[in-house]
Amino acid sequence: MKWGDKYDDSYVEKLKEQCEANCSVPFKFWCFTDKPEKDWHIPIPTTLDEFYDEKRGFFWAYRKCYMFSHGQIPNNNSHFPDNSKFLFLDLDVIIHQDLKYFFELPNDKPWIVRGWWNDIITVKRNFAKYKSTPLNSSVILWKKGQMMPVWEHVKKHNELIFFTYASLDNYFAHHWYDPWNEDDGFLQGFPQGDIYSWYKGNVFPDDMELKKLRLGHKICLFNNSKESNDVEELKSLW
Amino acid sequence: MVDHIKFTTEIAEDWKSVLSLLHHDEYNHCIKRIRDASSTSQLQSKLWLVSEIVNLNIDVEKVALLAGWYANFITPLLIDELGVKYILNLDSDPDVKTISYKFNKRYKIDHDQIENQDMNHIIRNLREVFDVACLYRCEIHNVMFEPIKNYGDFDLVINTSCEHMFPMSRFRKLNKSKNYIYVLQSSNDRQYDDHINCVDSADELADQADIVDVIYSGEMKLSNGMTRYMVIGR
Repeated sequence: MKWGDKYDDSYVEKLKEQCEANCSVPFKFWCFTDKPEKDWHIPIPTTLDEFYDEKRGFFWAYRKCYMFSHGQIPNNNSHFPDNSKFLFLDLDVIIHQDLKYFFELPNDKPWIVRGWWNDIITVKRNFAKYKSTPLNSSVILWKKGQMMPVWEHVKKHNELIFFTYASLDNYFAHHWYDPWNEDDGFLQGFPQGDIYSWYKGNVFPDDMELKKLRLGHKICLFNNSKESNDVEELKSLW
Repeated sequence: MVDHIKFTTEIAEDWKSVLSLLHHDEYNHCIKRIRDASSTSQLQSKLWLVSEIVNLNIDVEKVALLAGWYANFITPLLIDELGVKYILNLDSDPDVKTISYKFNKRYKIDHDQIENQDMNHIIRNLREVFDVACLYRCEIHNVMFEPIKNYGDFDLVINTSCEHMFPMSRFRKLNKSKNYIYVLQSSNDRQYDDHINCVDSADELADQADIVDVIYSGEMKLSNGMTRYMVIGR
């Protein structure tokens, strides 16, 4: 998914390259974009734009929600057969290992990054403050239609959600995950050892070294960084 | 004017049990929040609230607290100063249930104890049925997303956390069949990330809640320097 100017087209091409080099099962690569030019580009809808207040910047990643609706109705999209599985990847990830792993995970519930680098105590302490979410939407896995309840909820409560939640991840943590009973949420977190963060570490408190490649993991995330040079740092690792 | 909480032996016992809870690792993360909920400014704002309801001579039996946090100060004040018989605290934070039940253990009631029962009958016979002056119930519930109709009727809806949430007009729409008296507080203190809806006057707070019949409106400078606004009305 690409919008705005932070990442240019080279990031999309690079992600596509990475997927092609690291996925041993058949897949199709799609990109939601505000500048559709290629046959694998999907124009980003604009129906939620009116609820976004650019000055406040709350719920800024709302465009990701379109993925949970687009082509998700059964028998209603020739590109997405009804047994399709969808693996969403942010543009700023480095893929270390075969993505086949993700498509073979049980799909009783959708999957999302559980940032194991977060201290769960901090997560609980700041829950009511809409801070310190344990989730990260840089990688999401679902089967066709499975995320429709999320889309319906956002659509139904649009004004309220855009006003209340600074981030999509915080919204997910409040409505679709349960930090107190982590197995009970609508979303489940990818297991420890799958995905880590370049700027935040791997697993709290034992493996928190920053800016360390962990090639035994599947994916490295680069987002949520306050550092200004994260784009260049990511490029240096391509 | 109500200027103190009656610190009874029962309160002492309950509040002590909160401190005991904090020895458990599971609740370590709540220490700072319990301290914050016990601050001078928290007490000031609750004393002010109850004082004005007393001044207005509002007859109250059943109160819904929206985002009432631990309800540590407001529960004894509502019971001792206003004779409230039933308090329901609805909060979205899962830790609130356990901790607020500790603070108010002497009045605690669980859903299964009153399920399918006539609350008015229970309230009329509180002493005989439960041997208490009031019942306190807490549920995890986000009041901006779901109506509160399943919890019964209330005379008064109190929200002293308006700065933490979407404007109260939303709550009114969700519960439009009810003609509650609202008691709302908010602040102009924008230094905290979770103060997502601060206001700069009591009028603004009333507007946000579509309060057309304002029976009290005022502001108070609290010990922490912030200005707190309060509106009472329908």
